[in-house]
Amino acid sequence: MSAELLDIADLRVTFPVRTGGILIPDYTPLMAVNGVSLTLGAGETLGIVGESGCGKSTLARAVLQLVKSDQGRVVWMGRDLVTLSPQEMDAARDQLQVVFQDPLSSHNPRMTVGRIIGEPLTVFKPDLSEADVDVAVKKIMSDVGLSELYFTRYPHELSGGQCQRVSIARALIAQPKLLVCDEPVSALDVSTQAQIVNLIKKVQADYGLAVIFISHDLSVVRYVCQRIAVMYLGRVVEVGTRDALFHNPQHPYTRALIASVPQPDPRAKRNRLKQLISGELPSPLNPPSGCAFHKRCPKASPHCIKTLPVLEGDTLTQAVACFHPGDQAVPQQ
Amino acid sequence: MGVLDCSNLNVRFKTEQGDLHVVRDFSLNLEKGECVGVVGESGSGKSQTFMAMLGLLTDNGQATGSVKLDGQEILNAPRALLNQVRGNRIGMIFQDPMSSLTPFLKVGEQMCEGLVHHQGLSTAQARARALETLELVRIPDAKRRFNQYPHELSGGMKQRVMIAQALMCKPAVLVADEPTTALDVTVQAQILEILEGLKSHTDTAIVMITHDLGVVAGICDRVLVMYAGRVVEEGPADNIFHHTHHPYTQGLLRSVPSFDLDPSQPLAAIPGQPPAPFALPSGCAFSPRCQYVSDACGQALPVLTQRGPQHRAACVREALS
Repeated sequence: MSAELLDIADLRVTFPVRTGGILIPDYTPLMAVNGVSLTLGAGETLGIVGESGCGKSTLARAVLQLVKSDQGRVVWMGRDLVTLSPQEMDAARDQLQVVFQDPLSSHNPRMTVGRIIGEPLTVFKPDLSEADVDVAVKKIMSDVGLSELYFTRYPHELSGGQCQRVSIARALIAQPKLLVCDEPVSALDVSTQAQIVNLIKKVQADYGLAVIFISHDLSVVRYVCQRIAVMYLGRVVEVGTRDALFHNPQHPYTRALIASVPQPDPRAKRNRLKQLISGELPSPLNPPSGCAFHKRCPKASPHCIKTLPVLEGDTLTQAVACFHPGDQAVPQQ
Repeated sequence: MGVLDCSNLNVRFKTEQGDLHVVRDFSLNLEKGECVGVVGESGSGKSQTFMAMLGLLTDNGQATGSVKLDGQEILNAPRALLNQVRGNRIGMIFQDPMSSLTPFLKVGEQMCEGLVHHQGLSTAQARARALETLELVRIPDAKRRFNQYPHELSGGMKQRVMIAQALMCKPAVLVADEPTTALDVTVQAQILEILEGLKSHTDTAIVMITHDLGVVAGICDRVLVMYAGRVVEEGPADNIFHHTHHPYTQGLLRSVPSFDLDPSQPLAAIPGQPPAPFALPSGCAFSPRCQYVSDACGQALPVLTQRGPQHRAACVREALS
């Protein structure tokens, strides 16, 4: 759809992984992202969830052209970012900003908070005077709830939550249209996490941002995102609106993820155990045949082992890649 | 009397900024087979409390008070005695499974080490026990895993090995410090199920140190909430979650974006940050962040008072409205 802000089509990212010895090197391709198609509208929040190693961060990095994709398109406002030259891409980056997971290591320890936040402006708008940059920095600092006192501080003097506010301010100062948040609250304590979640929701609404929000925490994703994609071993296995996904999850993996989230209520604790899955994410170097989830799936049938299910349905409302979705019983063979 | 009886434990660190008093008057009586959760944010002193009990403080740390294991004082005990306690009568699971296993020793070797050392078992006996324990923590194909190195195992597997290792000597107390924080939610659920199973199969008492209230709710019988080095509320898990008496506990609970909240409303986050340990506010340490703060809060330190059966809270208010 051309009306979309971002249109990811059949995106594939592979990393060569050395599997041979020292004398006879051999490389096996690791499919980190394997044929992902997703769209994002202006002002929309899309969540991407999955276990570590499912490719969710790689997908975000491929969208931002921070890793090379070997197949597919990333169409941003009508232009395919994959085909842009490095110079053209750099010029487009003011619209695509990112907040990373580790609050401390994503800042230069030798720069003050004021300079960290102002740096994107000095890059994208080099004709702005220093005084104008400072004014813009102070305005954005108040927007993200950072006192002006921190303007001359260094990152090590800040708490994790404050560092993450600096990251958000730095991302917003260039006035982007898309904000990619890669596990922005995973490293924070629960009370700070709540503050940052509220802040991301507030700036999303105030600035009319489109947001790609990556997290392994379904409860946070549910809180922030309108639409959610569930990834498993490099593929999207289910995508849908928040209500569809949480009230009527179709893929057994989505169901298991939802059931695995520990809820803060001792009375609700043990009625969901039957939905839990065993085992762990298989090695992406040697993915299972057919549906990659079949080894952990309570509903796996011989068909699942042989054939790869494709994503069926409308990705804007609900689509699932499964032969036995929902409560549907598995046919006996 | 319980298996572990800790009273008035205080921990101080000598630093360049002065004396840091990070654990204040911590008391806990742990019963056999019980699971107690210790909850708080980073810096609340929850980990240092148990490091102090096990004599694992850094050189500039000092602990005072009393910690009795089956009636025997172990706080600041001689190293010889502590060596018999650590890994034998008190097992410990640390947060980071990747860095807590020795990379040069096979899984089986490091599991058996403690048993041979503490209980003088032969290698063959220890091996049999190790395989049994690996099965207890549901490691498939235990015989093969026994002969592998830690780097060959995934994060969840390593954490299972850590748990198995801590259980080898059948300890009276198992201290689990953020055992699932580094793990995926699906694997976390599996690990919690294993710990839950331990409660019913053995009479090992479990202490679960965590900042995740969801984890606590699923497994703990009793919960202690710590803030700025002090226990501010303690009680049966059901009371802590459903008859909350301390505003900090309430704030923590409301900060969790649980599934039954309306996502169109902002989360009720606690404003501000925990105080630095060398600049605690006078009176109640939580008062600068508390929505119910009154003049009385700044004047005197609230003490833990009875709020129900086994339920105590340290707040000047009688009840939360």
